[in-house]
Amino acid sequence: MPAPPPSQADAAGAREGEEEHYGPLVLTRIVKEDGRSLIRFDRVDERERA
Amino acid sequence: MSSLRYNELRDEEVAYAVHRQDRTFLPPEDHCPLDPTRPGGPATEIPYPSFEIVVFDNLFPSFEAPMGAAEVVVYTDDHHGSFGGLDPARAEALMWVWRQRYEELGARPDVDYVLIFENRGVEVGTTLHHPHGQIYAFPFLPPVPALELAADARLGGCAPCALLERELAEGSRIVHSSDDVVAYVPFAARWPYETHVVMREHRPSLVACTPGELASLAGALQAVTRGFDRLFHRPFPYMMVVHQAPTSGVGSGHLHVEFYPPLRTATKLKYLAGCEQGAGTFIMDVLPEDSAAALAEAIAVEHA
Repeated sequence: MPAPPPSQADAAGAREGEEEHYGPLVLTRIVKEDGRSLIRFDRVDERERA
Repeated sequence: MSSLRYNELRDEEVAYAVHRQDRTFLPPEDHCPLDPTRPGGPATEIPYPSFEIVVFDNLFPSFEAPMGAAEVVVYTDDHHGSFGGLDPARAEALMWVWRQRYEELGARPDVDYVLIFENRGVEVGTTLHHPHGQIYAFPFLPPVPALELAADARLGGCAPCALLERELAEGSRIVHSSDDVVAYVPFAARWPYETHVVMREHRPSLVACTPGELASLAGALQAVTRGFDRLFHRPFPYMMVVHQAPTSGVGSGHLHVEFYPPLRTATKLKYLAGCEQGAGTFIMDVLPEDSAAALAEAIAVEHA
């Protein structure tokens, strides 16, 4: 099952950032409560199917 | 905070990251920090109920800003998966993730070299079974890539290009090939089933590859890892390391991926013992031509 888009995800404990595109991927960056960075990578085609 | 000490006798840096002594070690499956955070379940490193690929700062970094970085790359939200078992489109996406991280980390002024790797299996020290790799962004050029640059100088050009030409001419150690990528056990392998997956064209890094080449690379890496698993009918431990150009601008490079698997039989490990550690000379029990023949056969099964 394709992953839900980040905007629907439960990002509790994190600030959700702007989306970026890189090749076939959509990146969503967040900063966790302890200050560490996390980047979520989704394939554009999967996002469109979701 | 990690720190560096220069080892005069060996002319190399040693990184001290003593906080790693307390890192998560083989947790029970229901407490895997790389699983998604499912509704009602424990919070993990990844605050999503499902995901494709996620990269985050290592909680126990070997390197960290302003002297490099250490990241974790989680390939899938399936705890029981493996790199070789990923859907091919996911593996291809992973090549783009590696490319993006190489490009972004390599652009930092405190990063001279970006090392992308995976340790698979407790035999090579993995502490979490969930399919994942790591990225170390070094604040200096480490010894192995420095040796590769020295080989370029010694051979008067790109060493991987020259070695690939030799392997193609000889042919006896090639285990898999496509229009874009060749995989072989090198002439002087230091591990029983050491395998190099090399781009046919001279590509310094993932950034220089075409989308088709990235797809071919993913396919070749998966073919090799699945072949490994068939060799001894068991999950095959390995260290998988992506070799690319330094990002400091010093020297060139030729994108290739090296596998260092420690098994010499289904139940026996190759140890780096007195001779390997004390003299730096590897003593091998298996000829590369023989291990290449076995691996090529194991890879070919699924392509027959």
